[in-house]
Amino acid sequence: MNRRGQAFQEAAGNILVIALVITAMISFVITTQYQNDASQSLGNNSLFNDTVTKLVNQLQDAENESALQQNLFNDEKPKQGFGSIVLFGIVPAVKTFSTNTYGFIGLIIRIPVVLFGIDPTIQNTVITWLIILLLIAIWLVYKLGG
Amino acid sequence: MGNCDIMLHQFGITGIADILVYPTVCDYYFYAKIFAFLFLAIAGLMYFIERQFIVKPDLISCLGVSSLATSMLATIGSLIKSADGIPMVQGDILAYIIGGSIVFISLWLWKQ
Repeated sequence: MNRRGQAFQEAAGNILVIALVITAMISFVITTQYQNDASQSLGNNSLFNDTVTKLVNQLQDAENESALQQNLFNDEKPKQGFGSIVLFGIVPAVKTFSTNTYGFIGLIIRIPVVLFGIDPTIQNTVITWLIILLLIAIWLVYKLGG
Repeated sequence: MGNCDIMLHQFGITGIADILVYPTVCDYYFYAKIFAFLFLAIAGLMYFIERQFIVKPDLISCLGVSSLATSMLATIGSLIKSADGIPMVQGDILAYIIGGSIVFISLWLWKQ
């Protein structure tokens, strides 16, 4: 598989790791403050509390979805295509992972945007750019995996 | 007497924690400025040390590591409080520091 074919799994993997690290960091801060009886805890901030809860739920959903997609992919019988093997199971798997990835992007971007009062135009531009990158990466997976 | 003078007059120092919290009485963003300087100083130091070993060091990595260190120090700062219960690093200052750290850490991990 050449470098282009790896673009989607690299992008999705990076975003997953970022989501994990951010969840760990915020959880560490909240837990440390809770255990040491901090007077103004980050846990009282609804933005961070909400984001961590959603990230944790999203990570758990991603784990469940990936297990489900793996079973579906393994159960599919490959078909002989024109000069190659055709596996349609990759399409729903990539769709599921891309949906999860969009969810993570939205949650990760939310904190700095709300906190620093960044203009929605900039937020939308960044999200648009990331979505375009992901769509192209997904298309390459379909094209090279066919 | 100004508002700040009244607050300083009422603020009694009984320990090291009170000395550390004292600057925030009149300047709410005192430690925000300190941590911003610390963040740039650590990142700059790492960058210039790395330049001695490699031709083109990674600035994003330096910023990412520095933001992680700054957020940990800010967390410790939020645990230090005066006798009146005022923390050294206020809640919303910590939120800004963590929010900024998230940006740099995300850029760093995305680049990796």
